[in-house]
Amino acid sequence: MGQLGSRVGLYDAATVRVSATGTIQVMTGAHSHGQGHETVFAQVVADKLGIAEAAVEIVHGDTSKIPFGMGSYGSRSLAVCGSAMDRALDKIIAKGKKIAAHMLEAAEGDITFENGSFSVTGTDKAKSFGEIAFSAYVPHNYPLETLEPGLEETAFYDPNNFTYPAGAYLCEVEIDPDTGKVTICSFTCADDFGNVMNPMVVEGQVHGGVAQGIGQALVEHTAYDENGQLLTASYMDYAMPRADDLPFYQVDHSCVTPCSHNPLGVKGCGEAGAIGSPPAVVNAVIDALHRAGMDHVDHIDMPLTPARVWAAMQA
Amino acid sequence: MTQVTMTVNGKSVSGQVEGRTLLAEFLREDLRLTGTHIGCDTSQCGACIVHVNGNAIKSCTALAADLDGAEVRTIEGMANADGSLSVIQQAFQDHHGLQCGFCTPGMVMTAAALLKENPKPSEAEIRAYLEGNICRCTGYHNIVKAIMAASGQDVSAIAAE
Amino acid sequence: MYNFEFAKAKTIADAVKALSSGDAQALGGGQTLLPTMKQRLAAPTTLVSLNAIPEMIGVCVNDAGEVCIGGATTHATVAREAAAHYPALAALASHIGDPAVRNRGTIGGSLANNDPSACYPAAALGSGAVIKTNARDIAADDYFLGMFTTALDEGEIITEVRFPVPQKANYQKFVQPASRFALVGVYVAKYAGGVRVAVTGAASDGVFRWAEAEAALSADFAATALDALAVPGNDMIADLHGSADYRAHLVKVMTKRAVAAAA
Ligand SMILES: Cc1cc2nc3c(=O)[nH]c(=O)nc-3n(C[C@H](O)[C@H](O)[C@H](O)COP(=O)(O)OP(=O)(O)OC[C@H]3O[C@@H](n4cnc5c(N)ncnc54)[C@H](O)[C@@H]3O)c2cc1C
Ligand code: FES
Ligand code: FES
Repeated sequence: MGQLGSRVGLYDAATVRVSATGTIQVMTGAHSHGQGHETVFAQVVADKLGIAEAAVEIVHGDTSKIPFGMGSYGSRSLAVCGSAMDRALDKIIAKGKKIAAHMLEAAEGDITFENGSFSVTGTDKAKSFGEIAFSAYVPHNYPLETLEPGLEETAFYDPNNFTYPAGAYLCEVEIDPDTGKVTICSFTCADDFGNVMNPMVVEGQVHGGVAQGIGQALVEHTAYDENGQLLTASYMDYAMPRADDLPFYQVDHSCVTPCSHNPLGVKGCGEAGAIGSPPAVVNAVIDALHRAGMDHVDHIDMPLTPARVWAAMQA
Repeated sequence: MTQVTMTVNGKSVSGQVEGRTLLAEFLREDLRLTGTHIGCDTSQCGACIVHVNGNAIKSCTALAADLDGAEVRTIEGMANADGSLSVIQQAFQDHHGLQCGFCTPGMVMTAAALLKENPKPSEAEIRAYLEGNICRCTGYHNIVKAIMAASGQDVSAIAAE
Repeated sequence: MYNFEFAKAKTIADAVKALSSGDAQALGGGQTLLPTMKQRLAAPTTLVSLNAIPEMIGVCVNDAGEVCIGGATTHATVAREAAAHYPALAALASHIGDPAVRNRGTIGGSLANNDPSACYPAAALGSGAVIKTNARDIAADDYFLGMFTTALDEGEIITEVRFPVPQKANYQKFVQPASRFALVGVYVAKYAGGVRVAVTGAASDGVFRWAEAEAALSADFAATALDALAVPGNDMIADLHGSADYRAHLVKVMTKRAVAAAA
């Protein structure tokens, strides 16, 4: 990342701790405050290890427990922290293979890991992930010079590029010609986020982003007077979009172009909704005014409050 | 100090409160029922909504002393008797109706009040009824969907993907 | 919020007595007063709750056919119980704030507060209502004295509001996007004796009657009767949410819509 202009590595970190009973704790540098990391990160681990999601606990936010990370911002949690987790899981599997080789009396190179099971390639000799975890903490006859007990790994993952999600946003509005009030009739988002680990969570991220963006486009405004006095110091004056300002959104991510440079093939999705929606809303308003013959209106500053739209129509 | 007695989630409780003690404070600090959230503290956001004598009210804008003798229900009293989630709560979970969860107690209490008045509300009726509940995470989509589902309406056709 | 003594009156007489001492203040639904006290813009030593005075709660129709609403009746109750008797008033009440606010806020509190953007003042003035207090009856025309100012004396409480029921009426509210109070709200009521038009949200002096519109509509109760009229922008509120000209324009638009909806 440093060479792309950030001048430092924008890495993140994950520690995967497998307990003797095969349950897993993942300590992550990313923080979840509603994005669904507990769900999606657990999926990453469960899918990779072939175990139940319920066996995975995600630990975040407690700096006395987690490795040093960079946190949640810039739509990076799954792409960067999830990738760190994936790398740590690679190390877990590699260590598991060593343990399996010892237990199954085979060469490490002959062990394959698939569907939660370590087996000697081409034979039916196998140990489940749980058996390997138990053995790691109850090591019998381990060659201690080459095989440490325990099953816990940390990885720091520094991406070598940004991810490049792409999308198209479509907004249909109606404007009340008498008052300038804009009503959002429909809103459609199509995004390519690469691989989608959990469609429900991804949709939720888009919905929330779109509402933030529509809010920015239509009502939200931090206003000061000429003396620097904040005018929108309470919610009596600072407007936020409410349920009745917004429609159901159509969300599509049927186009999947996996990210080519992170192990999960995922791209950032957290900010897309908030990025695509303001221009879509404003363009829709301008387009509606043009269709109504008001070709002179090419620009209205956000937020497009009824008063501003009405004023633009009068100009 | 004033002595107040209320029935909270079916249990009789009492305590000494100052005149200025808000219902939200009495619930959270005296009774330790911290499921009721305080978001704005200025009666705009709805995070603090509870039911008093069956009506949804903002507990940040009501005095505990004024509600002596009231029947109060909070989010802690919404689950079924066996501890499983109520229909509304389950619908919020099934339809991803919460992200950070800050608005959720108020949303659930408001939804319960709505469905009591209007067992099969339309999308527009739900959105109108949520006027005093602000959510900054979900864009309301899955909240409205969850409430429709909780009222037994088929939501499979609602734009998801 | 500074602390205060709390008292709960059981009768109007109790309340009046409790309010006569020190700087005691009446508490209705608290939807305005409590936020104000949290900001320390008010700090009464005693609050006297009016919420448990049975004679101040409820909606009824008197022998003269007027709708009488107890001063401590919530907006939600008015929305429900006045619907059969005075639908336009009930509809106005059903759009004040949100459901939780409507379950606490009261008509007496709203009229006593006289917020320049509040809804009830438009209904009271537009209906020529009578505001009944513990001491006297005040005609709406004499009651509203400017932004947050009314004819009420210190310690005087609104016990009832009496609304003559018009032949036709409608309230149109154009909401301020943040507070959802009226950026402009217009109440139009057609009585046998003429039409009344009351405007809230728009003027810096609070609710007012638009006399020209009343005259035009009394002659011809149709939205087109207003075509030639215009409200001057001079006395209009200008703020973040709309210029004086915008508000003046909205007054006419909302009046027309109210007439069209009532007719
Ligand atoms: C989120 C929100 C949205 C709102 N939206 C709207 C809206 O759209 N339109 C609108 O009109 N209002 C709106 N309001 C205001 C609401 O209607 C209030 O309920 C009302 O203005 C005050 O009534 P209250 O009973 O809560 O009075 P309180 O807050 O208890 O009291 C207000 C004032 O009136 C005095 N008072 C109370 N009762 C009486 C009485 N019976 N006699 C004499 N004095 C009394 C008090 O001493 C105090 O000075 C909103 C409020 C909130 C919090
Ligand atoms: S905390 Fe009560 S409404 Fe926001
Ligand atoms: S889920 Fe976060 S505010 Fe609603």
